[in-house]
Amino acid sequence: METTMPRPTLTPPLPDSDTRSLSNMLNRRLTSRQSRSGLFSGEIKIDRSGIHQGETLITVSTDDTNLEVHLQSFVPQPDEREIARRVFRALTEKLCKEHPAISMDAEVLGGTPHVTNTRLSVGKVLSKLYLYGSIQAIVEIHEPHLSEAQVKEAIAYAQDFLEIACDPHETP
Amino acid sequence: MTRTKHLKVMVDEDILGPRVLDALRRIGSVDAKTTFECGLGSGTKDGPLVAATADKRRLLLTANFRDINERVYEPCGHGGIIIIKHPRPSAEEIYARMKAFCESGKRSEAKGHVTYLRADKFTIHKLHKETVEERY
Repeated sequence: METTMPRPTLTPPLPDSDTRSLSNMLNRRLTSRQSRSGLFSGEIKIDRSGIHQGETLITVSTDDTNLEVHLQSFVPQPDEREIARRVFRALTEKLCKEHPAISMDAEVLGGTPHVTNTRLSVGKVLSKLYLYGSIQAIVEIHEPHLSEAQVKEAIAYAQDFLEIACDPHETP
Repeated sequence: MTRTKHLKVMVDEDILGPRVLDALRRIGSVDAKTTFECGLGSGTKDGPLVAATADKRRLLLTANFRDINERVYEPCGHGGIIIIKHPRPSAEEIYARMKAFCESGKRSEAKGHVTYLRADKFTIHKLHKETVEERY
């Protein structure tokens, strides 16, 4: 007895890397089992909005639940870079609460921590300190939009970030 | 007599400094203004800032390459972006790269496109992923 496999849905949409990983896993599995048994031909195509079957309808026998089980148990594994990005993101957000002069807004500098109400990221404040040599010089350049207290707060934010991020015993 | 077309730029807050403006204004073919002089406030969001390049008919000069680039703001969807690819660009560095770019004869191609000024070369990203890369 054969039945049409229900179209699985995964929400929210998978990022590209997860989609590729899922696609590869499914196609490897299908190639080795269903395709050889004549139950499947073609290729599962996946886009970011969910799973889409290829041109050939996929049918599986009711007693062969492998495919469905595997799909349900698929948990996208983020790569190390993505994990690091999430950890640092959580840390930057936490530090913004401790340093109110610093904020994050996805629409300003793409979400980079910056001095509130300016387009100066914390990194750029350090860069300017490196270039101009003093807090006062930075304040003079950006007057009246930037105060000495804000520059100091940006430096403190950077220090806290480095110390927490580099402390092996700290959990951000 | 031929008329030289100035490269009109507005300098982003992140690389702003009196020395930067003075240096840019020393380049004869550059007409530099700050974003504030162009009527934009401090802390302007990325989108409105890039959109202002078309309204003000000025290219945005920035060092903020992580957030303002050709992947986020496609070429020809704005007035043009020039990115100084340096983590800590000094006034001298900005001056040297802008001067070299202006002397390359390609400055008019920066309009509407995304241009990276590196230490030894520039790259102009145009529509449909077309790029022009040249040494100064």
